[in-house]
Amino acid sequence: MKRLSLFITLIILCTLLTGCWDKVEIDERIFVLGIGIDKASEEEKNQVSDRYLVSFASPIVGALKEGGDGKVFDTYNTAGETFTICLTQMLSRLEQKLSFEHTRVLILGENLVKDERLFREILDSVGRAHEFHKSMYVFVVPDKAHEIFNVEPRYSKLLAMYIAGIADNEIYSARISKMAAHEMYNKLLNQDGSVMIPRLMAHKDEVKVAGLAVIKDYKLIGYISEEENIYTSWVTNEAEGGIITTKYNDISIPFRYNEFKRKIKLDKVENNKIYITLSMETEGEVEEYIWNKQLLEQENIHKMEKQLEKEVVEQSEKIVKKFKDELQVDLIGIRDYLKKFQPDVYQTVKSKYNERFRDDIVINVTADVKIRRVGLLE
Amino acid sequence: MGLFTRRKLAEEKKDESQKIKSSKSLSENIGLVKKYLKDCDDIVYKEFRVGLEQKLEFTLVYTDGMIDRDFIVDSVLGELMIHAREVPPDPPQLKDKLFELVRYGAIPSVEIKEIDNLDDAVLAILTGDVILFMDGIEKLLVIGAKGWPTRGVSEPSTESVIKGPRDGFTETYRFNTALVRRRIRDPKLKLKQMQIGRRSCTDIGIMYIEDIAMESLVEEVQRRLKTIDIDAILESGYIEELIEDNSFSLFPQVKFTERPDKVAAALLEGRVVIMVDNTPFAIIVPVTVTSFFQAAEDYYIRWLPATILRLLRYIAGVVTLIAPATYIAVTAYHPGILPSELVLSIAAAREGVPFPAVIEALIMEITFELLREAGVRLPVLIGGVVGIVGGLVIGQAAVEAGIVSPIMVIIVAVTAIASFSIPDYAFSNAFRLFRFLLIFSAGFLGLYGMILMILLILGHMAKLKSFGVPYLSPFVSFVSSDMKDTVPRLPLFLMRKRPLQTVRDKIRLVNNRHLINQLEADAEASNKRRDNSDKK
Repeated sequence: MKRLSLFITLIILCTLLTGCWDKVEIDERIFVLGIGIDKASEEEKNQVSDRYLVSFASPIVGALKEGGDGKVFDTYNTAGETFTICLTQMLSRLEQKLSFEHTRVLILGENLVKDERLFREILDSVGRAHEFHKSMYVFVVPDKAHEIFNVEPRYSKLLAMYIAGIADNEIYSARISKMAAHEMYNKLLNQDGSVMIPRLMAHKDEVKVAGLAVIKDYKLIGYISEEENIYTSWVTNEAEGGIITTKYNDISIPFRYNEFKRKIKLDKVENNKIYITLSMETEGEVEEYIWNKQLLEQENIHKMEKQLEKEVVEQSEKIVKKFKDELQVDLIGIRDYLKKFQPDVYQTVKSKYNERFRDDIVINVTADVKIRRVGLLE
Repeated sequence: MGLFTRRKLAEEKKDESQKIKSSKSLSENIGLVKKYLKDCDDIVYKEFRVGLEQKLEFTLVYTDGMIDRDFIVDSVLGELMIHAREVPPDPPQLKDKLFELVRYGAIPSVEIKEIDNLDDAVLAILTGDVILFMDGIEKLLVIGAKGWPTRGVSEPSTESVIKGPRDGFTETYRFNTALVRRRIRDPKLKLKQMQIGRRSCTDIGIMYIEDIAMESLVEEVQRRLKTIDIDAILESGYIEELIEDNSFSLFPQVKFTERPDKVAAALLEGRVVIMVDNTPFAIIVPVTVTSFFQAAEDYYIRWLPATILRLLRYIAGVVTLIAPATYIAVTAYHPGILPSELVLSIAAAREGVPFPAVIEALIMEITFELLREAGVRLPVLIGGVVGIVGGLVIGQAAVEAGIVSPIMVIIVAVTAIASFSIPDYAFSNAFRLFRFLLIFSAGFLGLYGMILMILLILGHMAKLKSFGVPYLSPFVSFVSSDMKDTVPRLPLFLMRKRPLQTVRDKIRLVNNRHLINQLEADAEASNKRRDNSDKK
């Protein structure tokens, strides 16, 4: 009996003294769906020491319930010296508590990404803080990040959901790329501070995920256009679905693939040069030709496949060239391949890899396209 | 020393001499009986005389209202008073053999017994038997003529089925044992009777099948029943509380049923059944947690729907236990585990609700329990009104007044529906109480507290035993063949062994399914042969 009463007393003490400490009712939370981070410009600074402008986009729950036409989300901007200071500053301005469990997008302004120091600080603070989950999508915008939140999307009410929804369309179109925060951290670690982050373009009442921001050594060095995004995803083996258009008999033919594989093979190492083959394999369907012409003919299909293969090789070589000569950074995954499968070769190029990539790695592209279906008509 | 103490003493010492012997004198006997049954105005003393000369004085003593009057008039009074006169009198012979004549030749009753002490006689009178006192004869005759108003066999209201037998136990002990005996015509089905309750002398029967049930279990049940020393047993619940393993546990450790088919099934599984007079509820021991999720109908419909329905019941059990607690934990501590859209709609629904989720849940749950309790106690006609009021109060007014959120209403409604899906009333009561414990723990510590509480409950269940059988078996002390009748209900022909591993005779059926297919195959083969010969 004595032991029982002691046990009960302990339980009651535990719950009364320590219970409820992290209880925040759901209606006392502000769910931040999108975070925008910018480098603070002179006029945005409240204090001299302020370096960041952080904006939080969160839905107005009451307005969502009403379902009216009014604004359903609010944006709060705050400037501060560090990211954490910005977070705590919000507490002095809001009665509710910011909650980051449902953050869908992290938007980085161009100026921030251009500044290596600031970008690295932000990477660290977002990566370390426990309240951020790492599956939110990361985007770079060509201008100010917080301006994205001024967009009032035409079809959807919540901007962040809208952006995340677009990013999820990646599987149907190679023009779109998405990158979750944990992926970005992974790649930054594996590729020595180089990564490609999808770019977000704002228009009046819609946004567009178009192209990629190329970051080398934690610094923005350029963009890859929307068109080039397709070819980039081919050579990086990240393409899932999309369309290749080619001309056959003067008719534009869209080839829709839902699988695209890129394989890397080391051919030989000769005279200090490394010869590598990227072989592309894809399968898909052609469901558009011209009325009253037969598509289902072995010869036709064969020719078309050749045409498409040519197109794939051509475009892939172009983008590889861009990475090698213009951007001078290996974001294709060759380094990863060498490291994992050819460790001996990798040891020879390990130091000053990007220069060796530019000068000594010769990349050859082959393609194998298969048309599997031609639609319901013959 | 009163009557009851003396009886108890006699029973304990197995010494009949403690009881008061009857004497040869009728008036002396009647006088003593009258002394015992002083101020009992429902006892009838019917004095009558027998024989042509009307010299033999007899007295019938019985309790008014507890006997079958017609039977007494026709078969006892009629036979003795009228037919005795038709027999030519032969006094000297009759004098000697009067008792034998009456005992064996005069009363056409199926139940007749001779006793020689007044203690037993008084008890028999109070039980509803008729005692025949004869002047000049020491022995007394007990004539079984019980006939009090009884309720007929009717459908058990707490355990109704769509398919299956519709007879249920009644308040009459003898009917109930007969209903079971009708289902198992096996001489090995034993019924051991005893009387418990110093004042009530309630009939208790222990039923078991001798070569299936473990001896030790039967002995244990008997031993525990013998420890009971109480004034009266009014319902089988008294017995439960006095013999169960852990009185402080919320979980029931015996199973009540008013279905004779359930009792028969339990007997065939090697369990022991305790039948109690004056209640339609029999007690089945031992039980495991799985038996509370089994409904009689599971075995009367085909195994696949039975399995799915049983799975549904387990899900309902989990839902009724944790649904409100999960809602509290998730909304107040971990909104991150829900989809974003759902979180926003919950947040929108909760906007303006002045209470924290845990208070909100308590308000709704207590309101629901109040309604349920009121509905049970009220007569059926008024019960409907309670339903309407409750539906309006819970469903609409509370939400419109902004006291609770509509989502909470949904949670409570789902919980309530789920709690009605557990077939056993006592077990669902346990879940009702644990639900509140979980609500508190979720309110204090979120999911962490919930898991802690569930672990505590599981720990308690793992320790709990019902008559030596672990409560969580066959999940603990794992026996693979027992798993066939737990969450799934496998086809009957696969359940070759009896589910309880404490039974003596383990094999319950021989799977002869292959013989059915064999016959078809034979027919096919012979057809083929005939076809072939036709072709030739």
